[in-house]
Amino acid sequence: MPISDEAAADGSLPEPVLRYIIAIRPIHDGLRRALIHLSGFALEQITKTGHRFIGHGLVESARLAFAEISDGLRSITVPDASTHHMTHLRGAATAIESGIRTALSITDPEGDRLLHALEQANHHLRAANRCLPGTTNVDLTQSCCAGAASHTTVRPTKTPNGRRHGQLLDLGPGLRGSQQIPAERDALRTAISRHT
Amino acid sequence: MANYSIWVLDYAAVNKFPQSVMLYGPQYHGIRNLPYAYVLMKGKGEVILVDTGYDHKEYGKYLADLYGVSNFHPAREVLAECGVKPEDVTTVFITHAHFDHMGGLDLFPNAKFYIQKRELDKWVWALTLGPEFRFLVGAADPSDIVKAVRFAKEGRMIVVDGDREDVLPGIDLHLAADTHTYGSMYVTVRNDGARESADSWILAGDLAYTYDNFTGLDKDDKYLVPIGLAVGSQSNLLFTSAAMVKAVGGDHKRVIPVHEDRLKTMFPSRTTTAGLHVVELTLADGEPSKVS
Repeated sequence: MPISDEAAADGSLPEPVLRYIIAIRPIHDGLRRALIHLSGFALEQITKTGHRFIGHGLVESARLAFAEISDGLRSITVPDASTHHMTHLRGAATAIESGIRTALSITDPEGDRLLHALEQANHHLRAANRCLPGTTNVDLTQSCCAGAASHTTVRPTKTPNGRRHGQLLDLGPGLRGSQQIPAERDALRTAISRHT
Repeated sequence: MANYSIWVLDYAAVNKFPQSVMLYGPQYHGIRNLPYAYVLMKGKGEVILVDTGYDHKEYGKYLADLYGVSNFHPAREVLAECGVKPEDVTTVFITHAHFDHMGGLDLFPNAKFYIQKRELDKWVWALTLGPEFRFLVGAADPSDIVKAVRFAKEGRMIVVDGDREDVLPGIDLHLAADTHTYGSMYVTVRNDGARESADSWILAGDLAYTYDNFTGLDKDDKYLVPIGLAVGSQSNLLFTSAAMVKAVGGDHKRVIPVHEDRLKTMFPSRTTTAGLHVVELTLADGEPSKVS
């Protein structure tokens, strides 16, 4: 069952889920980057205009991004509340792996299979974002037209009995920090460690 | 003679937007209303949009909750104020790849889309730089690139490499490289069709947020002031602003910043039952007003 942003915001996310969120962020980010690289490659192929900035390294970049996270994806501990999320993450990984293979082959001259893989990966990543706070496909924290708010990701607070715990205040897409800065990630880890 | 009718259509707004983002410098000068809008043009047998709005299904609640984006209405409802359906749209010019300008690609099933090659290329490039450069890719949605791949495959995504004159009769596209984004684009409408037009309009995307970008805040000492956010350079933004104003003969009110709240008082307009605004910049010959 999806975990709501409200549950995250009031600090009621179970600790295993918080740990899971931390662990999957770099994985989600790797999948997202691989998706971008492959999409850029597909655009280059379809528009036949060449790629001025990256040359032909896009598929290799996708492969490297995927390789960085594939071990983590296999080994991550998945709490019961996050199994649905992981289903989508693995779905995205399968699609991206297929997309990389397809992009490197000569059996897809029209790009149909590659496009299918891209759309599948995109579908799964978006679905993953919806069923668990903490990740996003689009970073709005520094965006212009939505740049009207100050942001706090983690604010260690005291519970009525005086124990400190990490409270995730903003787990909406803007700070679903797939590329969350290390300081925020460290603060989150610290907050969780205080809780434990 | 005017070939195209042009309207600016609100579809949402941020009521309390920091002025310092709209206009570099005034860090403590408070807030403004910031409409989210796109431009509709009709003429020469074409129904044209400049930008598409965003994917409310995916980001609406978040934007509302955290950034105070309010009063979102879908394109079908907004366009109906001018008697247009999304299916009628034949051409969309994407000024840049941010979510609130490109996020509605799939709402227009019969449209061809035009975007600068540099905008797509360098966004993909920026994503190769790693998390510490996340600033460079803010507000861009990978889903839009996947959609762009599909539309390119269908022959509906036209990647433009630099300036292009007469992409449609009397309509020119201009690359504004390394400004607000890497490959921002503005659209010039020469509404009399003349090469040296006396009736030009420029749809500026986010190269300007407000008319104050062309004048500053001191009415006795006018100068160009860039917007508050660029991945390129402020110099490039200023030179682009100067070029746009020059192209309309110095009448900066013909350079349209869609996020400018004062458009509704500077041009004929009306408020819809939803509390949005239809701003009528100009009418083609024979086109009835949508605001009277």
